[in-house]
Amino acid sequence: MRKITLFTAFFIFLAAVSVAYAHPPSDIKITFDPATKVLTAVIAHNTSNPLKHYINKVDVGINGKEIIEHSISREDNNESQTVSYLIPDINDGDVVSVEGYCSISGKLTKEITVKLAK
Amino acid sequence: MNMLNFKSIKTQLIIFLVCFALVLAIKDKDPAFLFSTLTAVIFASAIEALVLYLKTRTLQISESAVITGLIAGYVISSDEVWWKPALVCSLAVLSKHLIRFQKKHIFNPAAFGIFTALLFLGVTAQWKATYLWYVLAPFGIYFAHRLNKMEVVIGYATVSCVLFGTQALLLKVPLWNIFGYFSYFYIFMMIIEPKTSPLKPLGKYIFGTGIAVLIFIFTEAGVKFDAELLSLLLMNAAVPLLNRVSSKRGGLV
Repeated sequence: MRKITLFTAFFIFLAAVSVAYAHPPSDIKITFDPATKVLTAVIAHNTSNPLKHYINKVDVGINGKEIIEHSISREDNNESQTVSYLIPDINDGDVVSVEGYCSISGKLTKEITVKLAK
Repeated sequence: MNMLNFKSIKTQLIIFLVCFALVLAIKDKDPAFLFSTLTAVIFASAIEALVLYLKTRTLQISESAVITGLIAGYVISSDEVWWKPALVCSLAVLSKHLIRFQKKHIFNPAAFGIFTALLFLGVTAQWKATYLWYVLAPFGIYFAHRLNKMEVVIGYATVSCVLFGTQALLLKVPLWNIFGYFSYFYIFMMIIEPKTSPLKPLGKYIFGTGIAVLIFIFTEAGVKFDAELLSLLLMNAAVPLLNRVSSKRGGLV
């Protein structure tokens, strides 16, 4: 019982300080600028060493078809990788997916529906 | 299989994993996750039933196989074609029956099946919900306690914090980021597997410690495979030795 109490206390502490998690990206925030037609994705991925443990590949797809495969050899910083792509031939209502791969293990996919300005 | 025995830790674990999967699938609008997990469970149970039938001539559905399938469903990417989770589970269950030492299986079945598939079959992992510590930690502590494997978790967590904490200080990374390197699903659903971890407290502490050290080494070496699964499998292989050493020391043991 004492062990459980101790460990619960440990995880309450953890809850207070934890910001991001584990190997797969914890989140991908995708934005699309209709004026410039630039897609930006911020891939949240905590790492102790961005040279050894990083987001090593980003795949971008439109309506389920892959259009970009981007290999990366290090992470921007200890918390995330930001990527931007110009996609001139995108249409209103297209579903854009971004898939981020961890160099060790795990991936995460997120998608948005594009709304072009009239 | 008595699915209604709610006092059974295996039944409780199955209920937890199933309910959690349903919540995640609804929250993330991800029916593919449910389909993939269901496929894994069906294949794990079917292969296990076949092997048990060949051994005993009785038809049995094993709770362990269901758990293996559920774990595979969480870890393997939901967008893989259906036969990949099926193959992972086949490898997992067959490893349990074919790779044995002193009449016990050596490797965590799910870890073996998943790691083999990641390495040789081009399967990708998603580690679904592994970052949801606020769900996995409380339930995981309960399961670890019921399975008498808290020492494994404590050994792992302590050494991980020391290693990654020291590194964070050296690299001037915020210290709290080290909690971001923990894979909670791995800690609370995989390394505490009772059959493939040591029996005595000393062995359990060494087991958890060893996993943490190996993960740190592999990660810092910049490996391109799943460091956590390989670390677990390597320490699984050391379990007979750990059991012997801790027994000789009176079991601190």
